[in-house]
Amino acid sequence: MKRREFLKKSAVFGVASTLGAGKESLNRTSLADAKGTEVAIAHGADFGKATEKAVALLGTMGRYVPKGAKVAILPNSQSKNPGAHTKPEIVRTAIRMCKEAGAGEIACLSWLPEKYWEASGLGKAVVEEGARLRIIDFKDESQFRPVPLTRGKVLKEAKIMIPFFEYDVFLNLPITKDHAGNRFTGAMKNLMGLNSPTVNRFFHTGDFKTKPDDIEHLDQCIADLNLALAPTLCIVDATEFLTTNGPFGPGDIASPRKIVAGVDRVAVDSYCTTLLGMRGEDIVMIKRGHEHGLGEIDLKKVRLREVEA
Amino acid sequence: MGMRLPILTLAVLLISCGTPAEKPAAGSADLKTYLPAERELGLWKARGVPQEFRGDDLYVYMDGGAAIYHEYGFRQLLVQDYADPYGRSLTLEVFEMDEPDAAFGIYTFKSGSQGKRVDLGQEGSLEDYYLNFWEGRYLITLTGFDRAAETTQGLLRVGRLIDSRINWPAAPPALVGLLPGRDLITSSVEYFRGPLGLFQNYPFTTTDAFGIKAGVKGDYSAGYSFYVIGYETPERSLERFAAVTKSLQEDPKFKNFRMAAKNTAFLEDRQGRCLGLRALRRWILIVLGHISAESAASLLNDYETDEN
Repeated sequence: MKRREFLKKSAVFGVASTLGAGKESLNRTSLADAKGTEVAIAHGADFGKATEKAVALLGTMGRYVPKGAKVAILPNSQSKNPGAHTKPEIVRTAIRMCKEAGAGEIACLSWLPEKYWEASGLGKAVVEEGARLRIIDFKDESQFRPVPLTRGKVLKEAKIMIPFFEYDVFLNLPITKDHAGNRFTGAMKNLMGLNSPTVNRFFHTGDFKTKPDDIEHLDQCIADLNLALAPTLCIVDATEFLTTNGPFGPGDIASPRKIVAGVDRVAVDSYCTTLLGMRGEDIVMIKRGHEHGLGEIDLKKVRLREVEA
Repeated sequence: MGMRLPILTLAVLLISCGTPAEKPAAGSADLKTYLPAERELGLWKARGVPQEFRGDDLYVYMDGGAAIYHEYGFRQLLVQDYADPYGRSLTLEVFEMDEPDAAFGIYTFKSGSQGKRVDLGQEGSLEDYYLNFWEGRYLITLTGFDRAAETTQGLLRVGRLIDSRINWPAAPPALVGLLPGRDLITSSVEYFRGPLGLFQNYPFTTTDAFGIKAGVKGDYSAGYSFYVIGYETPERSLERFAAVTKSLQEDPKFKNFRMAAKNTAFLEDRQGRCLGLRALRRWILIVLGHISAESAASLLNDYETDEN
């Protein structure tokens, strides 16, 4: 299938799918998700190999990345603390797999200053693998494009960093971990990394202070933001992550040594909550995402496959 | 139920209570004066210049992680990295909070119950790759990036140097003294100043039905936790008790809800833990654990008897 044809079909399937985000979404969901919700898990001490195995359970990277496609990658580079950022070897492997699939330009996008990328080792990994690191000035609002969210219950407008619109494929590479706001972060919350930090502050209440409905407010905002952005594929670092004092750390660390991959971010997050001793239903953000029709919260309805890497 | 913890006398401190702002709040310290001199650091050397974040700028440093610090009452932060010649590194964070209660609270929030107590500040806890201690209105966090003994020694060395520069005795908040003393695991005490902290400890409700401004929790060797949430007046306590019990009753993750009295309710969570709640004078008391409702009732009754 030629790239143009692939992308055209992808867009059609993405909008038509019950798991799709709807017409207002900047939909990068591929047709690969049309046959139902799958979540793939690979575990092992070699995190790069586990990344390959998890994607292989879903098919091949070529299923998501057509030849010549421009690929945007969003790792979590927020903190250099242990268990707080996506591991560089996972990002390296994802870049290599995209290249092997015949991708065109591959870039990690961020509004976090370069020092965060240096401190976590992610900047070095991206450059050494031959991908671009595209960082915009987070204080410059002109570098974000407003995206109306007609179905947003709290968030009525997202502001997405403009370079994102240049890419055909969106790989979401978060780390799952504890979060002091809503107890959990993973695939859905990672999308805040493409949204204007000024708008993100509204997530933590309009005047940046704690308000009575804080937790509901934050979670509804994240679910609403997810109406605007649909990843082509999520590859989640669940190898070693914070179980306390997240998202920044330092804190206690769990080491399941797992990579979790899937198109359905709600299902992926719902699975990852189990690694923190919870269920998807325990996290308001995941419930609200499910209510928006973004994915499956009930793991009994998800095809979970796990393999040793 | 036994005697309460001794209520420690709070240090009398004159602290400005201005709201966090991008400029240093009145009375805020120049945190750089607490940094160790190079000659004191041995093999460790400062790497780069110190970074400072004030008020809402904390979001620039740690994004959403800042919310919990603001809930406790945050003023400013100084960050300094250090490295040794063998490639080891550590990061020092000096958080200046609004007042000692806030520093104590965020210390209890960040410290794990498995940490080893260290003689730093008012109280310090060394975990496997990081340590926290609090002193006056400061919380000090030192993070190593490996578990090597040399890195741990570096954490302690820098910690002691900071400790020697901050000389500000303070005591935990008086509310801590209201926890039952018998069988209390002292390292488990956690002090809350808002809904985020309480929600992180146990997700009673995703809205602030408690209207919490101050609360404390302790774990007990018999396998339960005891919470004391403080209010300005008994009327406020009863009002919030009604809001909390309504929220819990309507939440599908709880079952077997029953009101045992106008001010007492029992229910069970999904993990089979019993929750017993009672509005008592200016407090809401909560017992939570794998115990029977009768045992929970007994603990609440004993507390009330002791208070009388």
